[in-house]
Amino acid sequence: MHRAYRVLILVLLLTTACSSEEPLRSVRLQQQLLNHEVYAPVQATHGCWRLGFDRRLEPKEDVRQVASLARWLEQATGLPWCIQITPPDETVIDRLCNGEVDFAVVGMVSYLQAHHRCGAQIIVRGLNSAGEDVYRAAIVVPMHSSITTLADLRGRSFAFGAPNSTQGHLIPRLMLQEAGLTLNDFRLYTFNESHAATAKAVTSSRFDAGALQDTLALKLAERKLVRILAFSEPYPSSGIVAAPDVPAPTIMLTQEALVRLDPQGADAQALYHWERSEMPRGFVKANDADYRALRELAAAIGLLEP
Amino acid sequence: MTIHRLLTPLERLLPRRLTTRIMLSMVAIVVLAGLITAVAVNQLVSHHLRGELIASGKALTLALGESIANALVEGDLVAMQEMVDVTVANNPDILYAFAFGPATPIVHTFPNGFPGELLHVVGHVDERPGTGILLATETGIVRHFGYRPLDGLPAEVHIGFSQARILDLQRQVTGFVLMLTVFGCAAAVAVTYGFSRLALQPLTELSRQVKRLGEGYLDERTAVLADDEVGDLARAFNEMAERIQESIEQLRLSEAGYRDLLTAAAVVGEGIALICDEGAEEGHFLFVNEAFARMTGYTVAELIGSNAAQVLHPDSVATARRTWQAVKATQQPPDPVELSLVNRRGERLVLETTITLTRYQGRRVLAWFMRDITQRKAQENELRRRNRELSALNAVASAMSEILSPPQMLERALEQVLQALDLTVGWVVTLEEDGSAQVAAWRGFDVPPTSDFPHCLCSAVTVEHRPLIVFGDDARCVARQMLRHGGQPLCHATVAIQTHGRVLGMLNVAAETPQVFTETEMALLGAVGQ
Repeated sequence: MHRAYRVLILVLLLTTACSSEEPLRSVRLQQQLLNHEVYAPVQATHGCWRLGFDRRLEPKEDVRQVASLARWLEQATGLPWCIQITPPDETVIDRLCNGEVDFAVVGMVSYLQAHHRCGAQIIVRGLNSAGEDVYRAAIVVPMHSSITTLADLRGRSFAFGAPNSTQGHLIPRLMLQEAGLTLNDFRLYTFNESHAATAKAVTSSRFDAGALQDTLALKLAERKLVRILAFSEPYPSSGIVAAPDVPAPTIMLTQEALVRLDPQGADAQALYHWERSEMPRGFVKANDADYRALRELAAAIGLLEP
Repeated sequence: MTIHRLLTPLERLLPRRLTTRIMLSMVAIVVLAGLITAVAVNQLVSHHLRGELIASGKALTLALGESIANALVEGDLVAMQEMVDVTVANNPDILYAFAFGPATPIVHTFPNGFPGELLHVVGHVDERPGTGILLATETGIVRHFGYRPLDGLPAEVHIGFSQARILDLQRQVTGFVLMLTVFGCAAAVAVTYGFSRLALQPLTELSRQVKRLGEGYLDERTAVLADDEVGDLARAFNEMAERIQESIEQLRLSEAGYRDLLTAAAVVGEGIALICDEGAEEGHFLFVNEAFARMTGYTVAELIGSNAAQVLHPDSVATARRTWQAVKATQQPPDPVELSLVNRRGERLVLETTITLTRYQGRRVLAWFMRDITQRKAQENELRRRNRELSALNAVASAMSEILSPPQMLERALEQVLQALDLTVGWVVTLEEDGSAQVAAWRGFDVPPTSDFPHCLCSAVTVEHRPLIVFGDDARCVARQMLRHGGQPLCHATVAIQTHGRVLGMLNVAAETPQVFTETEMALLGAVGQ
């Protein structure tokens, strides 16, 4: 009786299983075990234009934004595109100049360094949310901080972005310099890998102040997470540079395509949260001459040293 | 017709009692409903759990992907390992998890090493987790989710969810439903038994009363308690019993009347016999009344079962058979027919009969009605004879009264006698006073005949004075003279012509057979001679 009961249940379960119509794949989880370091099969990336980037936000956000731009470029140019992640022990400038990356979404300092090192050329720069091809840096403090002026930062701790970050380091250095402050005036200062890391450092009050890109600073301020202490003057914004060995027709084709990008209109769906980037309204053509003043500043503070 | 054909074998398999059938039907319904419910609940639970597991798996895979994405990009193996370990540790349904970045080895939770064929079996992974794929592993069915958290980059997150919880829950639910079905069956049997007993009790009582009605208790009636189908049936039963009782009462009255009719018929001498008209007893008496028995001289018991031909006169058998065939052919009673019986004493009875078809004791019979008219027939014959006699005497007297010579008178009288007897040959012998005799008148002879009186045999009539019948082999007979002249051998009847005790002569009439000279004829001839 008990056996018959079990058989009946089994039949009902089988009936259920049969009705699901899902394919069942057989796999052995306890056999052919690999105890050494296992890598997934490598997917070939040959034959594509490699798009790199330097760290701006969270790594995954950077990846998703750049990946969505690469997909859009495939459609816009008809060329194959793929993205390249820069290993921790390298910079995107290294990869641009080593021929491991063909194009890169970079900040101005990175461009100035790549141009200085291997002659990489900027092809477009971004338009901010106001439609301007400039951006600013912002110095922020925690919401309830007693600091009200840049001069109040003396003797306090300060968080920069990456050393080669325009908005996270270069422009804030200029702002601090104009306020009569040098690195030695801080009780403590540090460099972070991204603007997001800087924002965390400030919002958590681990640091008394920090340097951020203007868009992120405004967003955090709206959410009452930080208070903006000062904005910088506008400077030519981040853009996309091409490695020195990329053929001119490819550069022109890519440049024309990027200028047509409409992130807030027809191309909004194709891009990943492009409004969080430093070029939310797209791109305009850029010339190296636009960066003369910044190049001088970078050189002055030693960012263009080999 | 098709349904009947299908139901007939089923009918043989089903138990005879209606209560058992109803119980079986209810159990079948409950079992069927239980199975359907079990399957349906199973499907529902399975579908629901599957959906829940898929949603949960997708959410967990996405969450792991989101949390581990930065580590994948940065190649932070420690963070990656910690995250996959935490994910598995916090979710007992997750059997394993593993992830890898564009430039990292696979970080996994398999304690004894990564299964070499797993990635190959899993195959391509989409940008979103999807509904996962089902894997049959040594530890059971596993739903595997894969996800690429870094858009467009070869970085993947994989989680394997055990389906054991679904199957366990399904098993529990199915078992529960089946147990409910068993209880339902038991309850159905109990309820059906009680209900059927309750519902069928009036039918059982009605069945008992029908049986009693069939046994002859015609006053059996049932009480109509409900205004339902059983009540309708009870009313119909009562009406039927009422009608049956009325019919049987009428039948009894009819039978009584019939018996009275037979009795009355017997009283007035009407004989009635019912003769079987089918089967092995065809032609045998099934019923006779006392009157018929008296006619035949047998008892009723002797007649019942005997063949009708045994009492019919042989002369009447053919007539009777012909008449009865006509009745069967036309289904109409014929006009009365005279038939003869031979009674036990060998006497012949003349009957006036009629016959009709009817049914008796379930069999087709010929109802034979008869009346004994033997005496009436005898009286009629006597009357007819006397009429003829009177006619003949009248004719003779008329002839004698005419003014004729004696020979002419004798000629005339002979002519009248022959005419009365419907004969053609005859003669009159007159006796002279000297004792001689001569043929005084004759008919039917070509030449005058001569008499051999007193040597002829017919001469004895003058002595004995009684009529005689003389056969034609007497060579001295006048009748032989007809033979000599080429006629047929004749016999003749002779009576004395006498007056006041004196014989004047002899009146002779001849015929081919002596049967012509019946007693009646001889009496008539004697009367003429007187």
